[in-house]
Amino acid sequence: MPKPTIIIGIGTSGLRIVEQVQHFYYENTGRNKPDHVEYLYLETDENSYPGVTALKNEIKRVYLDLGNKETMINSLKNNIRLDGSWLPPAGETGDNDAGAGGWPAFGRAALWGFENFNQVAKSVSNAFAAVANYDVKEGDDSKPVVFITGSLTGGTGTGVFIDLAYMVRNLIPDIDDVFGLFLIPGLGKDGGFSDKETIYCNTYAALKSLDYFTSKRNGPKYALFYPNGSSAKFEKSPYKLVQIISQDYDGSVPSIGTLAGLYKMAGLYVFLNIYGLREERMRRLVDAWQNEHMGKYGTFGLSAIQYPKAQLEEFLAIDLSLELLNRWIDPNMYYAQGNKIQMNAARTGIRKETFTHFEKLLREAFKSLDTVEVEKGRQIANDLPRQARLVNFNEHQEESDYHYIWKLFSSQQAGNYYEAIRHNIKRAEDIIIAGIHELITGSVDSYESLYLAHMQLKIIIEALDNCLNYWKSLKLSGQQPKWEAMLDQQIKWMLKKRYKSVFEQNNVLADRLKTTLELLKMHLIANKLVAIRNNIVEGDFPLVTFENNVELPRLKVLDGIISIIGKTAGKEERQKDEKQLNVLKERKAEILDDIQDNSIPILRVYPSNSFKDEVKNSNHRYKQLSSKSIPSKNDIIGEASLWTYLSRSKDTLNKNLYFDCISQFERDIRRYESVKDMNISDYVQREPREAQKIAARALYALAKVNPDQATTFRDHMNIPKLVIGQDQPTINRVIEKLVGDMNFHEFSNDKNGVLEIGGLKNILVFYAEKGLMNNNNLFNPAQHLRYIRDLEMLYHDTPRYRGKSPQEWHIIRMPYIKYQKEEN
Amino acid sequence: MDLNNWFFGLEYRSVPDLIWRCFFLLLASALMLWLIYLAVIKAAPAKKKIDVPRDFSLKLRFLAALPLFLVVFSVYIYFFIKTAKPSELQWQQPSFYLNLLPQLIIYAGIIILFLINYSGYVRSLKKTEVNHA
Repeated sequence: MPKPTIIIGIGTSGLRIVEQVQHFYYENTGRNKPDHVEYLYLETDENSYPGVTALKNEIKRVYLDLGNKETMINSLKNNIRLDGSWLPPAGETGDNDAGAGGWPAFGRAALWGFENFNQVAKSVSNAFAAVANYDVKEGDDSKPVVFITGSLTGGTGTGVFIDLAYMVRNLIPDIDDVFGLFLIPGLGKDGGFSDKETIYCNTYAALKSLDYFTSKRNGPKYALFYPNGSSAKFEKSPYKLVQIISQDYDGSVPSIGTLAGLYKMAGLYVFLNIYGLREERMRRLVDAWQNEHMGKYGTFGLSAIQYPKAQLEEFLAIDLSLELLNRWIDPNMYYAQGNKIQMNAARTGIRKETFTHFEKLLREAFKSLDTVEVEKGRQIANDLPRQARLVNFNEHQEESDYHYIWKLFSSQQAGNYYEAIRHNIKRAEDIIIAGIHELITGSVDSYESLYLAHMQLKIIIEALDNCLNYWKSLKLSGQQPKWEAMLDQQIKWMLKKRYKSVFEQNNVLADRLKTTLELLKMHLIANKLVAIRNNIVEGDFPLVTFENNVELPRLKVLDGIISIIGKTAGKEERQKDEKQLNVLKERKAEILDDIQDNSIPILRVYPSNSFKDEVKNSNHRYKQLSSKSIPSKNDIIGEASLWTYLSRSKDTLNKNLYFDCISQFERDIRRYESVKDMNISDYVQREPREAQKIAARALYALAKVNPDQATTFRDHMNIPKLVIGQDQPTINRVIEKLVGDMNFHEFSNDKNGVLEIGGLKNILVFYAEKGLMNNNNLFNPAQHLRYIRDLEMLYHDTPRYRGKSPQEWHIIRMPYIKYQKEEN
Repeated sequence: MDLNNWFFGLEYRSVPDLIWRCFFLLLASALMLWLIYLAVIKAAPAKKKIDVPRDFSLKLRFLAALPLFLVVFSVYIYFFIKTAKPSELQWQQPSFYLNLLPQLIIYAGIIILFLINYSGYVRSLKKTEVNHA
């Protein structure tokens, strides 16, 4: 029966491991986590976030803010209830700028400082509350299992890992099962420390600290006050069992080539533990612990034969995402009703349509001003015939008809047409802004081509220029003196030859007044058109309408979106300050690297014998099953507006695009079952030699031991060594083939050698736990690691080269042990 | 002098008579043209597909009124010729044309007026001034 479980990743390595756990779980179940598990991760680097997942990412980030280290450390030092002797000097910056700066003391201070401590406590309590009431059967205890994982190399992991374990014990009373899985560095390629002395020093300090709290001694090991006023007092070690792994194998097996490979192995291990392995291990380890065949430390060997279905799905999702993004930023063609259209060929038609749209807009804008009220209930357009009659029948009070008309239109008079139009000109401007916005959004939504929208926006600029130039040729401008001069000409024209002989003087004058009113609108809107034009061309901030805040599309925005999409796709080079950019092409390369990484002990197998062919077949199957020949925005955002989606926020666009594209396509790929499952035992029947090679790698521990060339790990009946697969028949077929064809007897298919996990598809795992040395000593990394003595020397020698005293060095690297004690 | 002579007389009597005939015929033609112009203006539909400025519209209607007037005038000429005695239709005699001078003046005048107005209208259309007066 699975127990409630909390998995806590510390630092970026911790995050990557938890991500792998989530990934493996998704791969096998189609969900990111089971109901009885909660994922947390603690981070001091503000730029580190969980990556993309097809479903909602279940990893809850707890950010340990180290924004102002100096104030934080001083505030901790000033808290008289706290033992601040371990606190680092406040003014220093660490080995680097990111997060805890590589200093364990900063990492620990980050956990303690400001609101961070309360936030972590709250997150752990919430996670516990979320899983505590999980369907626990009678007889089971409801205390959860907590896995804490990360690397013992940087400042965050090494600074937090002991406090965190005790915090968990403090927050969840009587909890026993606190497990640690920590990554340590292997030896560098040169067999030494490869200029990464501080990392190795942190590892040494962490192992020593862990040993300090884990070794048998009397009295409380951990007794202190926390910054929130609560206290903790523990005699037991922080972890029930700590697993230590590195890229190096104990044996002549080549190391795991990349850190990502190690994250994958750690993730696979934790995943298996929440999926059934932990119960089996505990069943066996109870006896091992009782008989002292296992101590507080362990490591393991792990290998697998896997059909990388999830990677295939992600790769295919990226391919489709790239196809979609390239469609959006294709400068040469776009799609209309499923047909590919050359942009250049369509240009004339688009130009004509856009000009027509602009003319329509201008007409609407002008018309909107006809309804402006000059007096209550009297709209300007309806007022003109009345004014014409007043002039023609001389029913006004002014000295002359000229003067009367001048007063109506002059910029120097108040309460007239000029003022009424000027006060309402925003109405016309808004119609033009909204109209251009509608044109561009409509185009982007319908054709999904940003270059088409770009072209249309440029045509709008051309139309605006043409319009303004034409008005200029009519001697119209937004300047008041010019308007007054023009008004003089207009009035003179209005008053001459009014067709009285055919009784048309009222109509003619009303019409001429209307013409003058139109000119007045042009005069007043001219400056607005110039502003709109300039805003489209080079505006930093958008012009917006008064109602609904509709933004005027700008070339800068379009160019920015195109650039971000290009960068997200990997078509455009990223800038120096864009390290955090998510790039699909890079992710694709990462998957390929991962798939082709032969240094990790996971053998990738395919029904068609090649990853490339598998992608091709799956792509074909996807398009056939989904009946979609080309990807479209509907695959990502449904019926929502693409323009709104793309223009929402420049800062988050890359992240949103990257995440949404991959996750939505992955979801669709799964829905259509474009990538089929594979029975691993079929492969073993075909290639028993390769299968045997990979199974044998699980026999070697992922930690190099044996500093005295005499001790290494040994097997024991109480220490689990398992073949883990979907069902017994599959495992039987594999074992029988390995025994029969390859004479390989290291794994057996008896009761103690097999773990059946029903949902475990497309993968067969070989697992061997390690913890007992061949001289019957229990494994302790602080004693048995191959390079532990070199680490010790390095730790003591390095301060000299770094200009630090041994005490200063100790304070920043080993915050859990008082300096004198360590020396003792 | 009677009305019949003013409008349908072909006989040369004297220069003042000719001037009077000319004057009355021109006056009648102007009146007729004005009536036709007025009719054309009023007969125009209230709702127009294209919003043409009234100035243009009136000019255009005047251009339309001129050919209409010419039709009416042609009807008049028909009756004018029909009511004439055959002995009066002396096409070879220069004095015959002298008697026809008022009608000829109007005929030519209408054509010239049409051409002048037409070219003026076209010219104003091509202008890039805000008003086209």
